[in-house]
Amino acid sequence: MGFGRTLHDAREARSEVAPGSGTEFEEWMAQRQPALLRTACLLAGDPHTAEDVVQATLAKMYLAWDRLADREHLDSYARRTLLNEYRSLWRRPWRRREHVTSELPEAAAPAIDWDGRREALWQFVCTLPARQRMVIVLRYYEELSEAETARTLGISVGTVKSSTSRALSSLRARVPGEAGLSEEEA
Amino acid sequence: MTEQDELSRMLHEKVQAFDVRPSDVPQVEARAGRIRARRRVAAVAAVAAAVVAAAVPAALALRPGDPSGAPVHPRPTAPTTSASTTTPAPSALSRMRQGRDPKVDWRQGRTVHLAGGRTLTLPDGIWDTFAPYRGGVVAGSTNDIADEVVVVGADGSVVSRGQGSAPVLSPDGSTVTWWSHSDGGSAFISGPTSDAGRADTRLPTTTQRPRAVGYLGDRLVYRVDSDTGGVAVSCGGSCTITISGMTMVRAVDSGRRLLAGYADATCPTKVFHVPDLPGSASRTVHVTSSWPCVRETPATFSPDGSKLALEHQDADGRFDGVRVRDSASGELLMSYRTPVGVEVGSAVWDDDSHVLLDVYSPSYHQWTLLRVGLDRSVERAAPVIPGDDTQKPFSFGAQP
Repeated sequence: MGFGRTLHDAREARSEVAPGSGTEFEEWMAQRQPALLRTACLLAGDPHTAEDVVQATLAKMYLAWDRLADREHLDSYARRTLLNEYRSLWRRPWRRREHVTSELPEAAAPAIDWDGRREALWQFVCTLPARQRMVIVLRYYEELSEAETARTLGISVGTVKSSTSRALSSLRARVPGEAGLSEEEA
Repeated sequence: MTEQDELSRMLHEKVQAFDVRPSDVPQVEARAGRIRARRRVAAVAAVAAAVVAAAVPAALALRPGDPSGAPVHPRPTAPTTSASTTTPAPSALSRMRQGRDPKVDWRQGRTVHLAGGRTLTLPDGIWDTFAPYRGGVVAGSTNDIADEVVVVGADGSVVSRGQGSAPVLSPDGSTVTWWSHSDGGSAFISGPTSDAGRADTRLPTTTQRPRAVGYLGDRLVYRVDSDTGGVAVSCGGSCTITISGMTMVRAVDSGRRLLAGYADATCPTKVFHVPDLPGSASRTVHVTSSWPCVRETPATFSPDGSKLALEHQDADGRFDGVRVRDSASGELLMSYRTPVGVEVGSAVWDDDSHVLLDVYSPSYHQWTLLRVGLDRSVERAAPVIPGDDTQKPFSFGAQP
């Protein structure tokens, strides 16, 4: 809940919304939310932003539920909504990951137990411009085809190819020495 | 194993490390209610805009020209529809008068515009801010996702690029400082902004993701952790002064010894006064504030430190305007809302009476810079740039 939003506000807001297809939506949400959160984490880079992006996505799905006659494509619609929410973060340099806590950190967070190579790859993905990052996550995490990625992002297949190519080219330049690692080495 | 295989495996493994809290249905319903309420407001405004769009040109046609060229206050706009075709009306941003370029350093695309009309080109990357360094620039991210900093030499060549964060300037503008993490460890690096010969200095830090925010005199103010906050002031060598009473710092004014940031989750934004911090012994100093609770997000202090610009959010969390408050009391001095649907990216001061905003219109896919006066005058400070919302073309240089 954002700054200035009280429980009273939330109750008032809730009373304005007629759930309509409540049970069906709730079932879909319970089933789909974990996957949306995983994708959002990879896009946003932190769980707090991911939670916020997914909540906004679910809220928009909730509002559109009765208009979504084609139930077979709910997941595609949700994925596009999620990506739109993520894109909107990129207009805000400060807000992408910042959140307020009432507790001060007492010590530095422990380092992630992560192989150096894996961490270097992750850091690289974190530095990618938004479009390249979305393409990489959709292609190599969601495992969508180039055509599916293009449809989801509303761009051409050629743009998907060029974004992927640029990202991989940057990867070779900035995280060198990894190509050709064997399964055991990796 | 190919690069693609490695990326895929890394992403599948990495995602397991996140600890997330799913929303429950009441939370989603409440969020949906706020979105619906916002859409109603926007719909009403769009109707009003259609009336204005028809009425203002008619009124202007009937009155004599304005020789002063005074800027017109922006009005919300909407596409005009006829029975057979839909013709998009010019956006509110494109209809604004364009004034002079920003006085402060600014970036458009990969080109940074520096004092004296000099320009330099940055490499591809996410450069939210930058500062002069040895005749070139150092650019970095303020967003915590990228954690990347690049040093570009006076000849435009990339001198170094690696993990780090955005630079800040000393009060006199002679020194630039940024956080860098390399094989040599984690440290704040300080060097001259001009092409001076003095060597850089390193201030090692043990925290993982600190972020420099500004200076109090010759002492660096920084976040202990970029995400969760914690405020500290350097005092030489391993000496650290921990600031208690606030959880996150967003802006610093050295002259008046002010920190703008967050107090706690219930009363987030305040400005705090910091007493003199003599000596070189690590300790904790408690700061207090006489500000009321405000809900806006602090951006930057004016050059004279008397005012603070803050970014305003609508009910759905979209940044839709800027407010200016008195630094000492928190009194509201000016409030400006962007044309309907236009979102604010960041805000800096152009001079003591004008704030610059980088803004984006999702409806028209347009970016530009706005200059907003304390008298609520508004004009563009840059051309309108069409583009994808992920390709942010503008940012500002660090402010002393």
